[in-house]
Amino acid sequence: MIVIRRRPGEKIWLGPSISIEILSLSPSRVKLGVTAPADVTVVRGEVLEAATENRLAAASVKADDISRLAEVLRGFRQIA
Amino acid sequence: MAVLESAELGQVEYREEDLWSFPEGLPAFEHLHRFLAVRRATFHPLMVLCSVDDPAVRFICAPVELLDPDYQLQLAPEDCPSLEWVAEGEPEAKLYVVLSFPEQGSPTANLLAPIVVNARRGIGAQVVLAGSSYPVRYPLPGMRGDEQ
Repeated sequence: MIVIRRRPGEKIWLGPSISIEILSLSPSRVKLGVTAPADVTVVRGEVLEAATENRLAAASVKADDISRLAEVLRGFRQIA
Repeated sequence: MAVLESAELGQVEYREEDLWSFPEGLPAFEHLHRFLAVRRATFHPLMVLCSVDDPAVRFICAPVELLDPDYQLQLAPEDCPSLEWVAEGEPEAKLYVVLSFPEQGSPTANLLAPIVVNARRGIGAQVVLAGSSYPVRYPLPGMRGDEQ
């Protein structure tokens, strides 16, 4: 990991076409301005994690597994 | 009446007005916008959210209160614009969490990115919470990995 210290108003370049500017700073947050070509996806880390998790969730399971899981959950929460 | 051909659920009949619109799709599936929520007595209270445009894509969902009765949804202003009705505090918002079935270990629920739906308006989105300590893989209650 490359560690760089920047102040608000300063920039970082990733290759020749992607830049990240520190726009403002508060005690618990930093606001970043990202400039990148249209073919570069810029997402929050958690969104990428959610995408990975969705791909896993969309992988098929046997229909029986769904019923069996529902049965376990019904029993656990005492749902009729 | 249209028919969805699902490998797991068989043939499912539906009407266009039953569909939920996801204007932004879902993470990893941003191109899919029309979904059908399938419910059956055999897997109640789970719901299977099926893409009608790509039947191979479906998500097994649980109402969030089943996993965490005290779940709090805190939306940041930058969260999907298509959710403005949730920010306005409409009580019709219903939350579901997507279940994953990893090869190893027990199933988990994604509490970090709930699916928020307004069934009356027929629109929904999967909201990836920012600055939240909710886990993306919450182990399901009653399943400790050593279940039979």
